[in-house]
Amino acid sequence: MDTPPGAPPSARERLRRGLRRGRHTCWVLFRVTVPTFVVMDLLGRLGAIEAIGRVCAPVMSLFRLPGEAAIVVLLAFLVNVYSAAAALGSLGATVGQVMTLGLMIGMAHALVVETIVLKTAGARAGRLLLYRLAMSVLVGWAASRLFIDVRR
Amino acid sequence: MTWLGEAPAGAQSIGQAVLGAALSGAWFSLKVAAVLLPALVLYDLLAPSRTFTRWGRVIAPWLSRLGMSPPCTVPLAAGLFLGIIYGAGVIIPIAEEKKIGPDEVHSLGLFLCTCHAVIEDTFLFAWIGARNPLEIAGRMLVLAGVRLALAVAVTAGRRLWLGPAGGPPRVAPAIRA
Repeated sequence: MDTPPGAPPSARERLRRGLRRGRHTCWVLFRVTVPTFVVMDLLGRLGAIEAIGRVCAPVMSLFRLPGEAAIVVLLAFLVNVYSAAAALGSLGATVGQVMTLGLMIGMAHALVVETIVLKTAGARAGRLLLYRLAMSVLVGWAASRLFIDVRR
Repeated sequence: MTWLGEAPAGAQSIGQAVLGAALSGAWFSLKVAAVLLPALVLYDLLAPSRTFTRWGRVIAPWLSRLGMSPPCTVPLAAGLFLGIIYGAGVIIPIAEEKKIGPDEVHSLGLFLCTCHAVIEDTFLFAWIGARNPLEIAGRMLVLAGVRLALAVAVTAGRRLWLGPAGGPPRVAPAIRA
């Protein structure tokens, strides 16, 4: 990324920079999404997703989510939002589930990379990490009460 | 509660299954990119404009209540719209040049890690299963609004907790070489 001197960059330069960044984002998105869909599909056929879902069901029921949602949350925490969104897209979900997961993941995601950036910038990254995880649980719990009604 | 699955059913072989999944993955990312790309380009086009600078001046008094001074607006806007990773190109240099003090970095960090990349992070989730653009916009507003409200509340809360002076710098300044 080039650092512009004092004067604001020209419209063309801005457009170029925006396109470059946009292209990079879309490339990352594509590169992450396609393998995620393939792996999720194969895991589903092997019955692994069902097994993970069964194991994680007790924890995820705290958020009124099916156990499979644990895959989405873990992908978001450890990898990034793209892979989580791709996994959620391949699993499919109801509006309430999307909103709950969206808020939980909004609070905490890409924890490794973002924590390193915050640390480099001079913030107290360790504390912020704990804060984000706690916030994620709190917000997820609250959102699930708001957006997901239990029909049993 | 079950997932409203949309897995490509009826594939005959592993090759077919992989191809089918790869195609639906590509379609997924194409749909996301169709909205994301113009939004990101628009941000870069508008960010250095005069309107944006004026907004920066307007929000300055509110920023000081959150423990941030005017130089924080640039990394704040970059983080808010582009995210921590893309915004890093703006955030790290400003923090390193000591344009903002260590306490402000903590406020900024707290704010940004609660609420950032409001376009990308919200859109990726908002559009899943949405039937029309209005629904997507509504969900994005909710997703971004909650995070923004929490970010303001938490950062202002930290400021109040530490007192009006911003509190003593608990970490020795300039640890980095």
